[in-house]
Amino acid sequence: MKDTEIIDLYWERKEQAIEETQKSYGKYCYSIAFHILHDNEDSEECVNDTWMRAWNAMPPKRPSRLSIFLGTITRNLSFDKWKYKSAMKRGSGNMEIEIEELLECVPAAHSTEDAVEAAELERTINRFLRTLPEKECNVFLRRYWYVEEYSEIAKRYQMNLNTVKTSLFRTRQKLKTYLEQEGVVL
Amino acid sequence: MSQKEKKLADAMRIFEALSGVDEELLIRCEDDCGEPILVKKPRPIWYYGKVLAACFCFVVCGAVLLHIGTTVFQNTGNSADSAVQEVEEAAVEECAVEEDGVLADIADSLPDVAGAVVADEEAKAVGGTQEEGITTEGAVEEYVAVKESATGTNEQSAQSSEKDEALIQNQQECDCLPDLRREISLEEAKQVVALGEYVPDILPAGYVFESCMGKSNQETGEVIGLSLCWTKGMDSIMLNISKVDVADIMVTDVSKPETYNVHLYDIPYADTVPDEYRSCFHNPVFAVEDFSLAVVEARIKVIEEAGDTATPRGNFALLYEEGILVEFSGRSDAESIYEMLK
Repeated sequence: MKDTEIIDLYWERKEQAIEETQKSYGKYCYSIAFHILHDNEDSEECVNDTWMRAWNAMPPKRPSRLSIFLGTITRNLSFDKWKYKSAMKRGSGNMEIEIEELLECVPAAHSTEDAVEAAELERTINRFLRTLPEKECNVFLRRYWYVEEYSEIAKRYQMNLNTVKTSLFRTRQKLKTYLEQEGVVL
Repeated sequence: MSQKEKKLADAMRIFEALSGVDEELLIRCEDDCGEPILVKKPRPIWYYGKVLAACFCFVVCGAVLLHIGTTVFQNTGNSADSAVQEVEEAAVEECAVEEDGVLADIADSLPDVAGAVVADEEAKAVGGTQEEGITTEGAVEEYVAVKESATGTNEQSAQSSEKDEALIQNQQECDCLPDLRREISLEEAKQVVALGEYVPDILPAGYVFESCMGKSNQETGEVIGLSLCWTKGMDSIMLNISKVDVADIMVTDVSKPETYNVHLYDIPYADTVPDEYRSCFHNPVFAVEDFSLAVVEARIKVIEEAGDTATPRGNFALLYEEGILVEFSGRSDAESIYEMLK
């Protein structure tokens, strides 16, 4: 079923919308959740919560690309659950590797005044991503938005593993420099 | 909060901020899907239990039927010898019937056989010249040969039908067949039909060939794209050569430098480039007849970044009339890039 037809089902408040969403995007959302949580039950729970959030969001929303819309919800829910679990049990999360990599992007603090708001940080990161070549940007998003493993990215784009790592290292350095140039304080 | 914990919290903020990535960038990333990697959900144990239970039932039923069949066979007749004798007699009768049937079929399909055999025998009887004719034995051989070839045809059509079913099932399981990508050599790339002639022979000094990926349509087998990479230390040049529909490409007007000249705007471009030029500015496509050193110079710029080389860099694409798009992204001076692509 096409995205527009599924969204129409949401707008008509038909429960078939959930069924069709599960059929079309169940594996996709589960994949995103599992990459963050590495736990079957938690991932299933996040996916089910995603359907509920989607049900509540449409209407009034009518996303242009349903996969991105659902994937964003799943990603946020999964990250929130990961943070909760990490707070309960320090050092258990497998996603710590990705977070630790992003430590390299944290700019040196120039001032302690007024840390930049989350929305401004999002805008800054978007501007940065647009300066990147397409492939480099996609690799970065695959790693830090979809939380895919190095080997998965290498296989997806037919790249060497070291090439993926090098590309991500350079991009993180560029992001750090960019945030410093923009005067971003976290 | 310790310094390390503070930095960790900041890293998590960056991770969270990535949730707000523009949909356009995510769509572009999804469209560059490569090979989809999906995590498979582990199947619960009870799923396999159903399959095992079904197999067990089949085995039990098969054993019961075999036992019944054996018992019935053993109970037929008063003694084993008489039973065997009866079976043999029955087999002989059956074969006779079959033989008659075969000969009858032959007779039906080759009505001249009987006449030819009679004629042959009559000729022999009168001592005349034997004419070439179809003998009964030859007719049987021919019948057997025809039957064997028919069986072979049936087998072939059965195999072909099985293959079609597998293909249909495969197509039903996959909504789309992703393009096949494989690494190929530079020589192979240059020999690709329609695309190979656009692989440059002249490169900026110091660059060596790194890799090339060929993209093929899985259904037709046609190579529809080449992605080449050359490197010089930390610098690189990437070329994507592909077939496109000219009507789908928006060509940049070289008479409007404000739409593509990177020297007119400061970084960050998102703040300085007007909205109406943004999509064109980041990935301009020039008609090959408009390609010149001035165009390259307008797209190449030195961007100083700590830890990176100061080699000028940039990107653009050239559209050829025959529907070939050559996309350049890389680092070198404008003159060398122009020499490479002109």
